[in-house]
Amino acid sequence: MDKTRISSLQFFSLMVLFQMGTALVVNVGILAGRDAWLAILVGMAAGSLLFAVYANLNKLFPDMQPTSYCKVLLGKYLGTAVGIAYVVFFLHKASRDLMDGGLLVLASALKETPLMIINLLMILTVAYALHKGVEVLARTAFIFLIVVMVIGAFIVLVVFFSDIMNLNRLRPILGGGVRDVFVSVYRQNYQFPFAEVICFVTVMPSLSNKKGGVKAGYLAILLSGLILSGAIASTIAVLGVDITERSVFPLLTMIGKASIADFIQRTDILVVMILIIGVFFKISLFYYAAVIGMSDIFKIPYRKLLYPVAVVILLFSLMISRSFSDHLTKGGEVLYRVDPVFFVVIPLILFLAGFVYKFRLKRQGRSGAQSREDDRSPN
Amino acid sequence: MVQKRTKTAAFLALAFLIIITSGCWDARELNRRAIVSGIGIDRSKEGFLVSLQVIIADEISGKIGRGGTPTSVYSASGRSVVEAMRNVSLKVPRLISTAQTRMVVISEEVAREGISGIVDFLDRDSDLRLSTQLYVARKGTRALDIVSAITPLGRITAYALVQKTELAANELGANFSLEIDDVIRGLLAPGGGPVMNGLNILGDLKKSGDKSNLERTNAQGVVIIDDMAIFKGDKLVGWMDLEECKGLVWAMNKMKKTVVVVKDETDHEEITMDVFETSTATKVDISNPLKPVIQLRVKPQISIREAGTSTDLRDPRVLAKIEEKANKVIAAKLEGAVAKAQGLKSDIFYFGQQIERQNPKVWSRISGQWEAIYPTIEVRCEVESIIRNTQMRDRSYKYNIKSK
Amino acid sequence: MIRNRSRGRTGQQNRNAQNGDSLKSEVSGKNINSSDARAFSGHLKSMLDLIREESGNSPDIVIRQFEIGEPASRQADAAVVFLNGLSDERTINNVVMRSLIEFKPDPNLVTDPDRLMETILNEALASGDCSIHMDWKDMLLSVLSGDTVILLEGCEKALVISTPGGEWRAVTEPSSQLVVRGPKDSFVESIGINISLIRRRIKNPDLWLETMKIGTVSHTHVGIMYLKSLADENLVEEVKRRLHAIKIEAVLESAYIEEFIQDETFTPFPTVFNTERPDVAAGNLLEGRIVLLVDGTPFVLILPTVFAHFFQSPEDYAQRYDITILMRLIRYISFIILLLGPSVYIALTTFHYEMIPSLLLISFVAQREGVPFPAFVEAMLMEVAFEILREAGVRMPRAIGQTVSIVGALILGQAVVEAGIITPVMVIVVALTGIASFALPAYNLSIAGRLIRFCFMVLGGMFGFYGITLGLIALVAHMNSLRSFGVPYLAPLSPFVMQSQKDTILRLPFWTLNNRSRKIGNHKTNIEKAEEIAPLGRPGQQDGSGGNRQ
Repeated sequence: MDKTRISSLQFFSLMVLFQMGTALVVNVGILAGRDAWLAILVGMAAGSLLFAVYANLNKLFPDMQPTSYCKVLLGKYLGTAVGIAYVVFFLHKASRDLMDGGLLVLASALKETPLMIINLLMILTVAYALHKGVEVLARTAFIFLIVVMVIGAFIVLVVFFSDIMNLNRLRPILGGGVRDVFVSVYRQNYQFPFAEVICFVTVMPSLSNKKGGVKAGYLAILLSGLILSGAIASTIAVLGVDITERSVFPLLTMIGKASIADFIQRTDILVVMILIIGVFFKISLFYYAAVIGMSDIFKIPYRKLLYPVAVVILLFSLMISRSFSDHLTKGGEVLYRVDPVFFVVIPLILFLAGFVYKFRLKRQGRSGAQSREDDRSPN
Repeated sequence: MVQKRTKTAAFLALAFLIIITSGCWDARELNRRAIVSGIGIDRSKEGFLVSLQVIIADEISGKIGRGGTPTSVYSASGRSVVEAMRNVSLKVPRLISTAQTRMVVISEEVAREGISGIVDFLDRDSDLRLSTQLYVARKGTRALDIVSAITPLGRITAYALVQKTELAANELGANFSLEIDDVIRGLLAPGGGPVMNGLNILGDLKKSGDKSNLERTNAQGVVIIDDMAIFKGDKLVGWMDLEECKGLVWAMNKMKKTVVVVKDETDHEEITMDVFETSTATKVDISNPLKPVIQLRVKPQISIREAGTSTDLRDPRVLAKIEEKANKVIAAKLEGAVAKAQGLKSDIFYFGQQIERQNPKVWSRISGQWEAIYPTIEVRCEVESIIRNTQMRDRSYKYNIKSK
Repeated sequence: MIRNRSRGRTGQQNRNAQNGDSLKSEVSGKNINSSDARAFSGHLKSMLDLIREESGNSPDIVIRQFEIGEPASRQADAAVVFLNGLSDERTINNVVMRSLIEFKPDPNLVTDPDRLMETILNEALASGDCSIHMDWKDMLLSVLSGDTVILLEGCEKALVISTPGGEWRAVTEPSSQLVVRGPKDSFVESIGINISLIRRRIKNPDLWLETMKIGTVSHTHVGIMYLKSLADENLVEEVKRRLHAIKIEAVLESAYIEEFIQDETFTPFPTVFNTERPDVAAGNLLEGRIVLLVDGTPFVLILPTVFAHFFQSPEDYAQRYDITILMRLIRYISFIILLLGPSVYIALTTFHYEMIPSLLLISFVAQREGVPFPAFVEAMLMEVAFEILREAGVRMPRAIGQTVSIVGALILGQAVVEAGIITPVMVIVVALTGIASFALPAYNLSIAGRLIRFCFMVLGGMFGFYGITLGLIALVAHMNSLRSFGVPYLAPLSPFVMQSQKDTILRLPFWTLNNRSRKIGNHKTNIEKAEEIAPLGRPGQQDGSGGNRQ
């Protein structure tokens, strides 16, 4: 059995950092205009419903990788196919996030460095951390959650004391009606970043305390939802909805404006640091999900796959799109057309299949095979 | 296991080598940078003449200063601002770095023709910060002259100007600092436009950029903040005078401190008062959507600073009378500013947005006609000033002379 | 054979003696495999010759032959063997020789050497610590450790009397871990004295000591000390297992052992704590840790350790808690400055100049005018120069060492700035990191920090804050993967243990630390947690996920 054990607190930190990852810096929910913060909150609610589905699947098979229970629920061939589809999906997500991170660094700090090198550096770090195991990753997450919180508190203070916020810019609330908010939620917000936590089903088998872990998961969704919502709200309050909407990285622009007495100025590099940390964990988790899924399907040792997959992600990230606008547009398209299949449809099918499975097991158990019931749920 | 370790090590070493050998693309030593403190934009034959005020650091704090000027101005023209800036590289041996730029001056000529291209550049550029301040150089003075000026206090003119703006905003209240994003929001306001601080050179235009300017106690050319420019859309349409500027600042709730002068009836001497705390609340009455009424309620707190009168400043009734007078003076300023803006048909006060915030439905009905409605709206100013104190004395010494 | 035996008898008579004995035989069986039964031939002369032969006729082995019994009646031939210089000659003369010479046994006894030896042991010797040895090599080792051996004609055993002596350094003030307030004694090179220094602080039979010899050539005494009720049993077993597995010729310093027993070799971070202060050792014993004492060095090893341990100074408990918290914070800050100081400076000036306040930037630029090197090269030059200065200062005699640092720091720094080769800010940054490295109480951690600092400088010089951030992530991931005897290195921060926070970065007043048991309770939970995650395993076995797949 897997010896890896992740505590609830570490799971919580992983999830918070994962969700804040890219979402904190790019425009989330801006389809809803100045009500973006509301869209995020609604999306958060929808996202936590999806998380309930994922968590429930894990409850059925507490120590199994999703690729394994796919086979149990859907049959050997279909299950394997779904598993492979997920692996590819996670790989794609990892590459996209790598690209996201690379482009942000390119836009904000290192303007002339080749994207290849920036991404290489990132993927190497990710591979190194994952080489040490997901438990090390989770413990690292806890420490960086503290770091991010400290930086975040500092940024909040700077923004607050430089007196650039004007809450009037958020008014009127729901001026365009509820429709915009729901369009935004439907097209983006429930998935990004909340439904993306689907990759955490690969981490859940390593939880030391399943129930606590799931609870921590809900809390993490709540916290990151609040943070994201607060971030976009304060960005709009500082810049106004128009500048925010046109900004590629609105938070960065917002922080760039904050300064205290000419001494603390241009702290946007701190935001870049938060982003790098977030992107790191986001890539790590998708990458981990892909690798562990692969190793589960093809029965290849996890570490053997690690570095080859790193190369795949790196190359994939470089080929994925030509420019940043291209990247974002593709993201918008893919996000709301293809992703729901993976975020909603398949999990729901699995969820229903799980119900049937449970029911059949119970009937079998009643008809005499008591022992199976026992070894199915030892706890 | 051992073999695996070696493989991993080899992989890491290879990756490290790739990184190492590829060099550092973005590393720029500080002595390879020309740090720009201010940018001036004028009209030229090709399009724009861009002048960059570059800091000569060793003249300011280095040991090896050659006794030159603390800043140096490089200019070049081009069809667009960016092209002109690139053309400057023909003259500057270092990388032009604008991240520490605090001031962008646009000449009135350019401003009257439209600033949208310039503002987009300022907004888009990742090096420039959004907190850079924007100014208009008044007719007769080129932006080039402003960035070339040398001031005795504050060696870098651009930084000194920004400080001047903030200080004047805090002390006099006839202007307020306007940063790039403020201007963009102004450009986006329906039926409105941004306002910007005006700059002018007092005295000899030619001497202001001369080092001899530093060698006289009474500098021959000084850059001053001169009124505020009003834009309609991206074009400059007019200027406010000093009193109107104060009204503008007041109406936009940016007033921090200012001076109000009233005449006393008893002996027609002036009483000068200090407004040290004030707030302005804007209320919109849209009972008739086509005739919205805007209410500006100002609550200044005042202290008396200078009174050559013999009136009894100890008497609350007298103070109430003075308050009354102050109210009128202040209201006149506000009304003057509003009237000017309405005359120029530019909603610089964001009254449209106020209506939208208070009643989005009504706004969506009238927003199409806002251009026509705005000049006709009624603006009521209510001022309720309070004299909080009279500084260290109450009655003037003149009161005692008279009573004797 | 070992000094503790007398104390063991006073304390818990059987246990320790048995332990010692079983251990002894184990060790001798292991290390001295050519134990020859025929060596104890019973023939005195051949035995003495054998001793001479095996020691190469070394003149410092003293053999004194004499006869026991009334001169009138039958006498038994006997010999006393000891090592000149290592054993206490006064004891030998006053106690051993006198009691032997004055011993007048029953003439019948003399014919039975075995009984005679028993009688000497039981009746004649006025010495506390003596025993009968059956093993030749073992006996020889005792001689070499400073014991005195009595051999009798016709007897195939040896009587070993503990007569430790010889010269060693007196207990002095510690030279490397100084405190303003607190005990001023330090360990010395003798394991016996070191043990006594600890015993003096914890007077409790619960303090157990086990010893073994390590080194096929040097046969160095290594003592394992722990509080039986507090230390984790598995941990003690694991330590013993690792110690037994050591294959080395000689142990001259505890660092030799440290390298063998640490969990991870490829890391700059120390995963075993060391100290030369008995109070620190005692304090750690009270927290349930294990202390390893090695003969011949004043530095004892303490394990398991965690990262936060290296930021604790013995003085923390001698000062008021609020002051201690401040001091600890300052130590953490200095570690961060040490790691990141130069790299952040490089990153700021070459990549993110927009972050520097304008006026400061102007002064930086002015300084850089005319300086020929890029900031990165400049920083490297200065840091290397600083390391050279430090290294030179350490090796010099104390008086000259100070001159070196004055010449280096003041004159060199001044000259380099005057000549316009290096900017004054860089000198400030380098000096600051240098001083920060001295603010850490643990020397080995500050060396680690200095090493890692160079990596960060490279990263910062090439990628600015991007490189530094990724470097930090990799560093934390690395530290998280480290374990010290199964305890995660960053515990109690990650994994987070609330209870232990009281004395990690903070140091709350003693009454909140409540009692020992709570403190140690936490410590135990750490270990248990670690076990839950991965069994206390051999190095390299404790890695995370997928380890089972290999």
